[in-house]
This record gives sequence, structure tokens and C-alpha cells, in this order.
Amino acid sequence: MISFHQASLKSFLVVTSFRLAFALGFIAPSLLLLTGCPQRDNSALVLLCPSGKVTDTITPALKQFQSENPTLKVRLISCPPKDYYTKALSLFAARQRVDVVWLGQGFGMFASRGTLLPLNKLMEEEAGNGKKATARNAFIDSALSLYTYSDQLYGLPYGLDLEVLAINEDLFHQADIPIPDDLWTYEDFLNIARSIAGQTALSKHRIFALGMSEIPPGFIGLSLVSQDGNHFSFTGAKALNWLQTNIDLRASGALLPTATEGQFDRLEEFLSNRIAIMRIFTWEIRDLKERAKFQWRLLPQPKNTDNSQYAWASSSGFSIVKNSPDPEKAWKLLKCLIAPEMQVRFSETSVPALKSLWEQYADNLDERERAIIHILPTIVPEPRIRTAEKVASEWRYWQDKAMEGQMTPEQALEIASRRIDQILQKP
Amino acid sequence: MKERGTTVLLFLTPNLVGFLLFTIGPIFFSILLSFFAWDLFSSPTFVGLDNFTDLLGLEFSTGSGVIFTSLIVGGVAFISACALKGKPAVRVAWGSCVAAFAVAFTAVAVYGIPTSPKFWQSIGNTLFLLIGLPVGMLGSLFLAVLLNEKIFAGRFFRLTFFLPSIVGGVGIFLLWKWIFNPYYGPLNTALQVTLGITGPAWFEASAWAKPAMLIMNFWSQIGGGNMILYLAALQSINPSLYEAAQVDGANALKRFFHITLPMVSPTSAFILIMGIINGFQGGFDAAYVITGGGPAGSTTTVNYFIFESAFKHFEMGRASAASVILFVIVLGISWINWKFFASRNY
Repeated sequence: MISFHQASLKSFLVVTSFRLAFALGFIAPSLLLLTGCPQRDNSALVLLCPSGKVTDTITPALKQFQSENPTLKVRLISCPPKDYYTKALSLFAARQRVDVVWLGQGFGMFASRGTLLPLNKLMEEEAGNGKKATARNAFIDSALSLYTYSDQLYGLPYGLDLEVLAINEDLFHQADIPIPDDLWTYEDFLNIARSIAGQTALSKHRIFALGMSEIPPGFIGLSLVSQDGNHFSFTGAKALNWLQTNIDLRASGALLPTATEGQFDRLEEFLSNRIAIMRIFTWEIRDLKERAKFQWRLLPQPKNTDNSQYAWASSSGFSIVKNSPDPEKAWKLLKCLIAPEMQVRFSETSVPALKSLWEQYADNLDERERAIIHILPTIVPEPRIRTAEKVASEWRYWQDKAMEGQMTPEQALEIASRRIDQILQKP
Repeated sequence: MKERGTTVLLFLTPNLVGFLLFTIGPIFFSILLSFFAWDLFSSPTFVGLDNFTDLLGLEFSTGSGVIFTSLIVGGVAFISACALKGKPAVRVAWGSCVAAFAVAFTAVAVYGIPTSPKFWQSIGNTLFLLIGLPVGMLGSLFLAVLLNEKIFAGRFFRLTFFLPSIVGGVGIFLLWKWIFNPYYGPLNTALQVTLGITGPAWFEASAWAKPAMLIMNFWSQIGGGNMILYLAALQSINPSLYEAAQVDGANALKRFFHITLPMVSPTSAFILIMGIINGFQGGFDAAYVITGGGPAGSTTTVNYFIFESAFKHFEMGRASAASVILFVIVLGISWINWKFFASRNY
């Protein structure tokens, strides 16, 4: 039999233990909230780069860098590649610490907003110390020019990203069309596209002649914005003809439908034998080599009637953020990331930016990839402007309107020209 | 009493502080920002009403003469109509006034080119997507009525129809993206196999992108939370009303229209108001995941436009101005809704 005292002691213990557990349940998280998580090491350099291939390539190099420089800590922020540039800009705007940032074709958006540190002085000092690897003349000129804004150098490249055309030779054979050579012209290119689109046997299988939603304007030497970045330069008969050609090719089914973001994976479609000619970038060639189960080869951009040839290109490399609290250490990290051994590692995705590595790179190309060699002298850098994203989006809007038949090409060009000029001239 | 007030205030303080800091503060900051141009990197510049005129403004390359003349004629007719009070000619003057203003309004609509067509288009797209709301409501009510009956595996169906509310958005959008894929998506394949027709390009064509979005919205709107609200409303109807109607000889259809529908009308009003508000504020996630607002801006909703202006073009002032306009639209519509439903008794 349990006595009264025993019973009250038991209930006291139960109630008290419940109360204690309840209090601890509140106190522990409250204390955690008050004290916060362990503080982040603020002395660590912060490197921002897109996730995927870039991160995979630099991770082992970072480990090596840290083992060689035990006093220097590096924190890597790997950002998803979709909207990478706008995410990076948002980080800068939020005053988040970033010391070194990976930049490619979106470089202009950063340099024009004054977010990057000019490297001219650091480069001169290096040259004074006799360091050859970071001397200006060690780099391919066009690679360096892609990181120049207002005569200032804001980044150093580890590679050049080039655009070439890949052709599916099996589909050419099926369509009974002779395979073009490196000297093909713009007219040849259009005729081939029309011929493939006209082949009913192929169209039944939804095969696209061209793996692009429009012919790149650069093929005929046109650019949306003038080289000085002050006005819309996509005007005149040449531009009108370009737009009309695209409308006709779209109607004949030669072009891909309007490329909505992420809707169409060009490379996957090409690898599935559904595209005859495709724009391909150097970072995609490795996948093509490993996965294609058909005969293919690369071709340079077709030549114009005046024999001119234009190729799109962009640099991939790193810049130092202007607000970096430790630019000297950031410079050290940057030099490691663009060192020759890193450029060799990156050569699977881009052409090395150092002249000394070019020969070795060219020797490693197989017969099907030789077109890359012909591209280099034809590179035309795109103007670096602050409003690149807005200009591209505005142009895409009016171009789509014309392509969808919602207005005439003349109207679309006229309105686009007026509006893009307004965007470019806004202070 | 005073002590009680202090205690109440003390208890409310944490919430009030949060509300002021994270809700009211940003609202006022956003309204203030709408009068500035700011790209986050340089200091904000005061631009007055420029952001609003840029978004809502119209420009005229032709037709300005017609508008100007009509406005003058309309103005003169209005003054004459006021002056001729009581005289027989007043009707003619009022008629001329109305006609002239109608011509001016038509000319504005015909000749006016919006300075920001993308913004107007985004409003149009948002309104278009609201078409799905009444259809979704009817569907939800229909399902709720069905599930309110004692049917086989009723609980299973309740859960199934509630699924759209539980499953995460991005996954669903990716699934719909695959369903609508014009080349290997099941929808076009089914159309080809069953009807022998080649399906449209859905999200890749501006004519079909919005209907595709609408179909996708039906799926999430029919069933889900709205269905549960209707189910709750149906279960709170007094069964004696149905019994009395049955005694009076009312068939199922009459019982539905004369009892069920009026009794669930407060729920319908609630769903409609919330649906309109959510509809104006929605559409971002689907546009971001599936179409990127394209093709040709056909799936850009106001919310996506705001996101694009703020975080792609870094035009915070313009994005804030668009938010303020959206706020005014939602406020106006909610007020009309409230007035409309408040004047009715249920």
C-alpha cells in the first residue's frame, strides 16, 4: 500500500520532471538563439563560382592552394548556374563578402557597375618582378580584351569559350546532302538548312535542320549594340533581311521553336539524332565526344559574301571584387586559379588563354575538332555594357513578336531600335 | 484597466515589432522607392513620377490630332451643356459631349502605344489567368458535393483531390513541363494516338502558352484548399432544410440551386476574393520554372515583371512602382468585391 507521503512525492517528482523538461525545451533553443551558431571565420577569402564543371575543376586546385598556403583559408560559394550573374550581383549589393568571383560573358554587368578591382597596377607590379605567367603578353589578346572595360583590365582568364557549329554527318547522309567543308558560305548554310527542313522523311521524325532558335546575328557581322555601347546597331537592310530569313526558316521548321528558358536541351536533342547542325560551345564538346553515337564534326561559322567571318567568344576567368578587404591575398588566389596547370585542367571546357599552352591544346584536338583552330582569328568581342541583360530581354521580346507574326519585321526593328536606344542612353 | 492595457500591449509587442519591421516598414520603403531610380550599387536618385509614367504612359505617333480635337469639342460641349440648363438644346450638347469623349477615348485606345508594353501585357496576362478562378470554383464545389455524399472510398478521393495543395510547386511545374512537351510529352502523344492530330507547341508558342498555364491552374484550383472549404460549408448546412425541400417535392437539382448554392455563398465570396487577390499576386513560380516569362512575354505576370525589373535588371524604383500599381489594383478590386458582397444578405 502506498502511503500519502509516497504518493505526493511521486506526483511531485512527475510534475517537476515534466516542468524541467518543458523549461529545458524552451531554454535550450533560446540559449542557442541568443548565442548563435559558431561564428564564421571572417579571415577566410571567399570565392564565388558557378556550381557544376567550374566548381568540380577548381575544388582540387583549392585544396592544393590551401596546403601550399596554410595561413590562407578559402571559402567556396558555389552558386547554381541559372541566373548566376544576377545572383552574384545580388550578393554584392547585399554587401556579402566575396573576394574573388568567376566571370564569363556577364563580365560587363559587373565591370560597368564598378564592382570589380582594376588589375592594371597589380599586373604592372608582377611584370616588374619578372613574373611571366601573369604578364599581359602571355595571354591570347582576344582573351584579355574580353576582360577589359574602359581601358582597364578587371579580370584574368583561364580560358576562351568559343562557339563553333557541330554537324551530324549521319543526318546529312540520310538527307543526301554533301557534307560542307570549313570554307562554306552563309548561302551554303541557309541552303543546307532549307534542304534538310524540306525533307519530309526527316520531318516526320521531328528533325530540326538547325539547333538554334535563330541564326546568330554575328554570322553576318551584326551585333545588337555598337562597339562603344551607346546605341542599337541592329538596323538597316541587313538586319531586316536577317529577321525575315529567320521568320521563313521558322515557318519551314528549320529552326527550333522560340527557346523558352530550359525548354529545349539542344545538346540532348543533337545527341538523340534530332538536330543536323547545332551551335556548340567549347564547354559542351567533351560531352559530345563522349556520348555521340554517330559521325560528327565541327565547322567554323560560314563565310559572308565579302569573305568575312565572325565568331562569338567569351572569356572564362576570375576577377577580384572591389570591396574585398584583402585584395593582396585575393590576387594570390586569382593567380593560382589561372595558373598554367589550371588552364590545362580547364582545357576540357575551354581553350587555354595562355599563348604557351595553345600549341599543346591544338595538338590534342582530333581531326573532327580542327575547326576550333580556325575560329580564333575571327573572334569579335561583344560590347561590355551595364544593361546587357535588359537589352537582351527587350530585343528578345520584339524579335519574338515578329517571329510569332504579331507584327511586321520592320515594326519590330523600329520599336526595338527606339526602346533599346532609350535603355542605352539612360544615365 | 490601465494595467490590463499595459499587459496586453506587452504581450502584443513582439508581434507588433515584427509586423512594423518586416511588413509595414518594407511597404513604406517600397512606396518611397517608387519615386527613385536605384540599381542597388549607386545612390538612389529622385525621379518623381517617372517610374509610374514610364509604366503606365502612352505615346502617340499618329492620332494625336483626333484626340486633341475630340477633347476640345467634348470640353466645349460640356460647358455648353452646363450653360444651357433647362433649354431644349441641352440634350444635343450632352450628346455631343459624350460622343466627343467617346471618340477621344477610342482614339487613345487605338493610337496609343504604351511606353512599357511589357507591363501592360503582364497585367493582361494576369487577368487572363484569372479566367480559371470561376471554373476552379465550380469544379471545387462539384467535387465537394460529390465527396459530401457517402461514396465508395470517399476518404481516399478526398486525399487524392487535396494532393495539389500538399505537393511542392517546383516539382509540379516540372511535371507539367514534361506533360506539355510538344515532342515527347504525354499530352501531345495522346492527341496524336487518339485523335490523330498534331498537338500545339504549348509553352513554346505565344498563342498556346497561356492556355497551357490555365489548364495547369485548373488542376491545382479544382480540389485542394477550395474543395475543403466547400466541404466544410456543405457539412454545416442544416439537413432539415433538405428534408423540408424533399417533403415539398424538390428534386436534387432544385435542392442544389435553392439550398446548397445560397448556403455556401459566403464561402464562395471568400474564395472569390482570396482567389482574385492571390491571382494578381501569383504566376511567378510557374513563369520562373517553366517559361521564363516567354515566349514574347506571353506568360509574364505582374509578379514576374516585378521580379525581372528588380533582380534581373536591377531597377528597384521601377519594380517598386509596379508593386504599388499592383497594390492599388488589388485594393480597388477587393474594395469593389467587399461592397458588392456586403450589400447582399445570406
